[in-house]
Amino acid sequence: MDAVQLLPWSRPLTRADFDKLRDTYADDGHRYELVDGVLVATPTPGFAHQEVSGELLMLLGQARPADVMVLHAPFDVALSDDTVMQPDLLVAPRADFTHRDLPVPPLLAVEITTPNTARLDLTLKRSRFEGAGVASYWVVDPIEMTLTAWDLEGGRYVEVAQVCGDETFTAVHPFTVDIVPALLRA
Amino acid sequence: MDAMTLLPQSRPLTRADLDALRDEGARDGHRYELIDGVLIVTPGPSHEHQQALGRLFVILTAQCPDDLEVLFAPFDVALDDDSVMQPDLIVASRADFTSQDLPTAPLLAVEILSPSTRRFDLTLKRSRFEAAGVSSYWVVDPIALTLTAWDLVNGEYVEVADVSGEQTYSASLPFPVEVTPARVRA
Repeated sequence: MDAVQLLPWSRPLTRADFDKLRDTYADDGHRYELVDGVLVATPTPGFAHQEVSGELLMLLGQARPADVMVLHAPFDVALSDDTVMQPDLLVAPRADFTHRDLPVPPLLAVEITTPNTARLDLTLKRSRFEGAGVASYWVVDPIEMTLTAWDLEGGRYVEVAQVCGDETFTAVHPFTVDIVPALLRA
Repeated sequence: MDAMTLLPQSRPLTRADLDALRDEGARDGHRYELIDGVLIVTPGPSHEHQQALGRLFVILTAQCPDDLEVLFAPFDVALDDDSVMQPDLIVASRADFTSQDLPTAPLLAVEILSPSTRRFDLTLKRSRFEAAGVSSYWVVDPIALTLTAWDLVNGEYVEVADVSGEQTYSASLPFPVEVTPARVRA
């Protein structure tokens, strides 16, 4: 087989490299993200993940103020020229969006874990969102039926909720909404 | 242009997928690693990184007992069928190596930080090594000249050293050795 060079010669990747990569290769169903110039490819989620994502999108969509949008992945959040991420759900002011991306930190990023991405969501992505100034970050485990939420305080994430099953998380940020993990799956 | 795909149709990647990817292309100087079935592609190292790595290799090798071996990247550490990593330095029992990989957790893994990889090294990789039972994990910052070390205690990493500049870390694991961050450069 011909030697295919997948990436430009070794260096921290930029958004331009990343876009070229996505233009060159057919969609293989993985989610490609760029974090600090490092390429991360995660497998497509399964049924439980999609079910929770859909329910949460509806809940947030019903509770949102008119000037705020709730979007689901895949949609680029460009945090810097070396960091383009696609959180499962994001909330941001309508005025902040461009046609192709959100070029500033969202008010809320949500990741729904899978066995393959839980570690990534709880360590690397949490750290990157914190570094970017994403005001709130939620991680939902669709198997264990848990939700953990952090809000930025003085530039650091502080855990504001960890609920399980039938417990209710009454979020204050980015707007008031009640989330019960058990109700996110039929 | 032909529609090439970078990866097999979306699923958690295995070691066989990683090997195929590295056979077919991936000769671009980046480091390809698999963590929980997620592909992580990091840029090649800098001068400062390689200098620190070389010095640290010499320091460790000089004190290494005969039944252990110190090895530097790139060399596969296969923690699982979905996790194949290449720490900058590893220490493991000679008896544990095969000609192509280390198929078990090393006694020590060391990562030299770079601007692109520091977040990965301090969050995601630290968590994966901890879960795999890597007894000791060190990260060295070749610019700030710091060394932070963790040892596993009851399955969790406990910080055992955080030294900088002319301060010395007298490690007891994986064998007695003194490391002074200022000595890993110049």
